[in-house]
Amino acid sequence: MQQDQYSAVMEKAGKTLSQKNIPDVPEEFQNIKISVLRVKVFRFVTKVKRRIMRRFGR
Amino acid sequence: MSRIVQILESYAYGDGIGNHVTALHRELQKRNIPSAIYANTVDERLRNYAEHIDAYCAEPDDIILYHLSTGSDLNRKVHQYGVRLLINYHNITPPEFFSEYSEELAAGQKKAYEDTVFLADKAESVVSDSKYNSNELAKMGYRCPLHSIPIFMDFSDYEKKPNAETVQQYSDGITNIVFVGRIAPNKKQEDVIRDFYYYTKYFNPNSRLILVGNYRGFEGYYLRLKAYVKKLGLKNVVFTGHIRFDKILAHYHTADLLLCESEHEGFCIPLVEAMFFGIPIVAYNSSAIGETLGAGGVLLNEKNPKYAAAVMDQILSDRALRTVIIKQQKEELRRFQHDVVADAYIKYLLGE
Repeated sequence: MQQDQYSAVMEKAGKTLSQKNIPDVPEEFQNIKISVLRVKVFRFVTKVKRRIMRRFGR
Repeated sequence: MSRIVQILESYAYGDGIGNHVTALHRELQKRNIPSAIYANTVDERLRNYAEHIDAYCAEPDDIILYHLSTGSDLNRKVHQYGVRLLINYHNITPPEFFSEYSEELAAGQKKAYEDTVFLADKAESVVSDSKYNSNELAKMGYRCPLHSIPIFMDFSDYEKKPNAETVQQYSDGITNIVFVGRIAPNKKQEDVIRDFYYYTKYFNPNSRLILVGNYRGFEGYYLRLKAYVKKLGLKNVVFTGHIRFDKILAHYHTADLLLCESEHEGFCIPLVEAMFFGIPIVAYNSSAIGETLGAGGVLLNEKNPKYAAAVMDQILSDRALRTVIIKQQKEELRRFQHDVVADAYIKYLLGE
């Protein structure tokens, strides 16, 4: 995008945001934790599902 | 005439590097230049093109074009054939992106980096998919000539018929924000979700986010992303998982905007695919993304999800702006046309 068009888009985005007063996201990704056990179970279940699907040609 | 021998760890069907290798092989054959492909693993569907690396007998005039993109025992052996060695560098994702999710994958990437450094004084020259990749090699100690030529892309594949059912499912008047790329920590799908949260909540509730890509190998990251979506209360986020090519095409056919927040790309094929399909692109300016986009799309210089949402809204609600962006993207697409890339590769390989 050309510089003048880019600046116009960014300026307009800034104006929109100042009018809307949007609160911050309620949760940040870094606070989300998944246990190792859950990942292992998920991997196992996915593997079994994949084998069943392959077996029945789906 | 010298034979061009392409060597790679895994010759996979349908992936970016596999397609690139096949396209170059066909191009060489078209120009009556002897060409062969050898790999450690060869997909059954590509058996007509390639043989296992153990079958390779080097001939004195051979020129090896070694595709470097991953950790492999070949990285330490390929210089031992005693013939001219050129490297085609496709980039290696830094291990720090993976260490939280898979020690094994992170160790593999670390080894790949070490192997790349090891090869620094072994190659006659290197061709990379982007200047970003070439600069990376220069930092790793490569002093040989470094060239940049975009990866081969077969646009005729994109003209194939999309999956009709998927097209129908997503042509329901809801705005489709799409990101295409495997579920992997360097792609930063969590930032795409965060941008979308602001967009759908404060600009356009009649919208959905579709994350197209395989999560195999990064199940832990995938589950975290799903949990994040739930925590944000988003009901309109679709994870497709691994899907057939005709379904990927269907998502491109029904996409209204491609949003990319990736923090490490050596090229980023989905950007060019979006250009082809006339989908406006909003992307974070990292690694090779700015270079691939050129003057097309809208590059975000900082990670600011509210800004990203506001920019997306502007593009999607302003037809004239959208038209300008798509037109500029189409112009950029010319750099990736098959003939342009083919001529550059042949010139490079023949040393013209």
